[in-house]
Amino acid sequence: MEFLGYRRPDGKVGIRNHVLILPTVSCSSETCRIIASQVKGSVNLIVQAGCAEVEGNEEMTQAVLTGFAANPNVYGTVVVGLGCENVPAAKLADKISKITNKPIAHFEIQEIGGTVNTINQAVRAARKMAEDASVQSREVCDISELMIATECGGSDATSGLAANPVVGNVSDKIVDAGGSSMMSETTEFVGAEHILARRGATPEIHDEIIKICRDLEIHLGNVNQDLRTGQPTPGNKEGGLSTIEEKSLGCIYKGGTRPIVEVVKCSHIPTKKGCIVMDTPGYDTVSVSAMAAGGCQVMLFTTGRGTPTGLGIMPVIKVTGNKHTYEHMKDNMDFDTSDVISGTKTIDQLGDELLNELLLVCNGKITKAESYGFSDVAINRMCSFI
Amino acid sequence: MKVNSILLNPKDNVVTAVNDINEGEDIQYLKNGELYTIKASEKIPSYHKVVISEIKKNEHVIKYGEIIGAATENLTVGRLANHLNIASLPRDYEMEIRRE
Repeated sequence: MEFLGYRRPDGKVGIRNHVLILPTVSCSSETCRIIASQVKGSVNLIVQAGCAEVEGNEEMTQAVLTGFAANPNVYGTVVVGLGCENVPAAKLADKISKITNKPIAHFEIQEIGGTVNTINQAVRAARKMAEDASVQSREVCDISELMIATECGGSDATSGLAANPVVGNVSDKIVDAGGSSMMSETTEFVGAEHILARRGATPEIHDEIIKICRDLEIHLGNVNQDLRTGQPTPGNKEGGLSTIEEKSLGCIYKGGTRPIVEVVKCSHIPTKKGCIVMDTPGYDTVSVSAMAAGGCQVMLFTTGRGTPTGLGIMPVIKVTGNKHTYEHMKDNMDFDTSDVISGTKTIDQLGDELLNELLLVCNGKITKAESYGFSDVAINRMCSFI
Repeated sequence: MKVNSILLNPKDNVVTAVNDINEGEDIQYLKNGELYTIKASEKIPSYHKVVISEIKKNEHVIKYGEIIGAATENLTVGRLANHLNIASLPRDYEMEIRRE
C-alpha cells in the first residue's frame, strides 16, 4: 500500500505542504491570521494560551505548539511572538529546531515595533518559504510512513454500531500494512478500559491504560467533579447513549483490535509504530489538536450527531453511521457508514471503501472541513491561568 | 416482517432500535439467526434501547455483551432503557491493575 507524500528533511512524510504561521501566545494570534491571509500556501492557527500559565499548563501548551510545527504536513514554520510572554518567539523557534530541522523563522512584535512592521517582515519570510515549498513534488511513499488519528465527537448510538467499527477496520488494515494508528480520549475509555487494556502489548502497557483512567478520575475528583456528570453529554443522551460505559464501549471500536505498543502523554510524539494510545480528555477539539501535535498526518473522525470541526494543518475526514445526519449535514460529512446498520454492506466492505477514501485524501483530495478552511485549536488545561 | 432492532451480543438484555417505534408496535430482532418479536410498551426513538428480558432494580444492563450500568428501577420487556433509568457504575481500577 502506497500514497503520494512530501518527504521532509527530518525523515518524516507529509500529505500536505503548508507553511505554518504559528503564534506563541493569544496576543500574536490575530497578527498571524493577517500574515497567512497575505501568503498563498500558508495557514495560521489561533491559540488562546501561551502566557500567565502554571508549569503544568505551560508544558501542555509547548507540547502542542512545538508539535504543530513538527507535524509532517508542515513544510516550515514562521513563529510570531509578542515579546513578554512565557516562551517568546526565539525560544519557541529554538525548541522546535531541537525536534525538527525543517525551515523556521521567527519575529517579535514588541522588538520590531508593532503589528504593521511585523506583518511586513513576516509576510516576506512566509512568501519565500511558500515559494520554496511550491517547488517540492509528491513522491511515492510506503503506508508505513503514515500515522492516522482516530477520533469521535458528537457521538450517538450509531457511532458504536457502524462508524467506529468501520474506522477500527481501517485502523487494523493500516497497522497490518506497517503503518500507525493513534486513538485518544481517556474519558471515553472509562467503562471499557478493561477491554482496551487487554490489547496492551506488554503487562506494563495494560496497567498504563488502567492507570490513565484512574488518574483522570482522581484529577477530576480533586475539583469535586465526577466525570459522569459531564459524560455522556446531553447530545449523546438524546442520541441514545445512556452511560459513560455504553459510550466508551462503542468508542473503543474506532481504535481497531491490534496490540497497543505505546501510551503517550497528551500532545507528545510517539517513539513506536503500530497502535498508539494518547492520554487526552474527552473534549474532541483538544484531542484533535493533541493528535496533530503528536504527528498524525490525517484523521478519521466519527460523528453521529454531526460536527464541522477541522484543523488547518491536518485533514479531518468526517465519518457517520447516522443516515439522517449524513443527508441533513451533507456539507460537513465526508463518508456514510449507515449501510452497516441497514445490513446492505459489511464492516469489512465499508472498511475497504473508507481506506480508499483515506488514501485519496492522503494524495491530495480535500475534505469538507479543509475546503471551508476550518481550523479549531484547543489546548488542555490543568488549572486556571495565573 | 422487517427487523427493526439490533441485538449486538447474545448476552445482551437490550436491543437498539434502528428507527422510531411507536407504543404497541412490534420490535423485531435476530438472535442466533432466529427472529424474535416483542411489543414496545412506550415510544422508542431511533437508536435508543429497548428491554428484551426483564431487568430488576440494581441489576446490570448489558449491551455489546458488557455491563453498561445498573437499572435504577424495575424494567419490564418493551420498556425504553435510557439515561433516566440506567446509572453508571464506579470502576475498581486497583483491582484491574495486574501489578506484574
